[in-house]
Amino acid sequence: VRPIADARSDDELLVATGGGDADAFARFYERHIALVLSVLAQRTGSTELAADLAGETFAAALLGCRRFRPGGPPAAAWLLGIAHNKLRESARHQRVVDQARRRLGMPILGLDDEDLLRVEELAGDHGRALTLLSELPATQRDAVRARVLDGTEYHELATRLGCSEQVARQHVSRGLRRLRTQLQEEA
Amino acid sequence: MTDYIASLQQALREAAAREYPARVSSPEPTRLLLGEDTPTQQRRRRSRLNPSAARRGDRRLTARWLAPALALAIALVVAAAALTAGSGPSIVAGAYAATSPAGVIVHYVETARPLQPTSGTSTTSEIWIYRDQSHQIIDPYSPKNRQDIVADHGRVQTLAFDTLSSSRYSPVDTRCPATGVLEGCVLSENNSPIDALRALYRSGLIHATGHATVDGRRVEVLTGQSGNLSIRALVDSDTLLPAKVTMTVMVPRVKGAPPAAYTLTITDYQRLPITTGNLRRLALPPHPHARLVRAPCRRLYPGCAARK
Repeated sequence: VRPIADARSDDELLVATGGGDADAFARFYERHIALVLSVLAQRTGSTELAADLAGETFAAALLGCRRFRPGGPPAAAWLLGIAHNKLRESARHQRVVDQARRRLGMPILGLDDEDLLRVEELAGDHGRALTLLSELPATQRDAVRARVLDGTEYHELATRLGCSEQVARQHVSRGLRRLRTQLQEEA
Repeated sequence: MTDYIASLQQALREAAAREYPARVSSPEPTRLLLGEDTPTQQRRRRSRLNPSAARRGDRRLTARWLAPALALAIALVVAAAALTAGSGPSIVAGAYAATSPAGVIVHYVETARPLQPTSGTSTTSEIWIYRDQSHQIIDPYSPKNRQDIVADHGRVQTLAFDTLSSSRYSPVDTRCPATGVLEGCVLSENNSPIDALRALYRSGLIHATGHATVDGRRVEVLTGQSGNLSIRALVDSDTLLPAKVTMTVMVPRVKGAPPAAYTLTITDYQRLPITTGNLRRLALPPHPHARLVRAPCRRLYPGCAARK
């Protein structure tokens, strides 16, 4: 999926979604589907599971977009936090949860071989983000990994890094910004 | 694209449209009556003595409480009258639907003018409201008297000219004790003159009585009367959004002052899309000389103490 150019920030897209702009959420999806697939594929080791969980993740994000507070932690971190929760819930229930999709009346989509190849390709594309992540300065790398990939709460992260919660937030925010810049430059 | 990724995107788009239906909104830019102070204005303020600080302080407390009090007074009249009133005609119903606050930041300018000059002076405010957040600038034309009041889910911050030192702005930080109390304290989507206007539309007290032309555009004239409340609303014939609304209502009591009749005029009504730039209108403007003062809620909003 090649994201359509949209000057609005992630925060603006989520706020606009809550305000009745359905296309804004489609743009948000385009921007982040590869990242979500990449992270979920890495965590589950299964492309099919990752695709199914990504659907549930974005459905839950859609339901919760009015709770998103613009200007706070980055939207990508918020989204990956949802992905992490969905992964945990699914592991607990021994099946991919579909609660959000059912609430929205969304169909559960099936995947054929071509779809799986496409998902693998997308996840691979964004796998570069994970490589770049490992090249970040140690504090930022640990902060982003703990918060975004492992879903660690900020207060816990602050204790682990030996800093205040505010500083921990800054590490995550700066790390994500740096990643995004590097990805954009490469693109 | 017809693959899984595209199908999922389409399903999400359809779900988003169902979950958050599109609202009518105007892309018009907001009009800020007074922006940040210029250095000249700041110097002028610093050099000015402030002999009537106490009197102005009282007036500020009244002004601060006036807008919600007016909304409450109108709502009370509507609640009493609506029990017997029927539903309004289609223009009124359209005007009600057009002013739904959902999904937009509502902006307007209101002027509250006492009918008796002895009851005080008129107050102009520029206001932005989005759900439980609001930003009210009282006296936007006057750097000396300007006061910013920002409410965000029960937390109220005020940026006001410091009447003691005459030299700086002071943000006052307070918090209303409970959500129920908030309704009577500060402006919000459910407690504003616009909400009161919508309640009037819904009550059937207002009727379309003709047409007029305002600033070259055709408007519908809606009028209504009930008890000590009278209203004349000019709404755009095409959009049915308010062009100018004038309401006269008796406010029972404001900060210990005797009951007084006020004329409330609403102009510059706008529906702003929710963008980061527009959301900034709901935040307190930064000021280099501000110092934080914490104040109990009851000092700023006497109604809060009464409702506890």
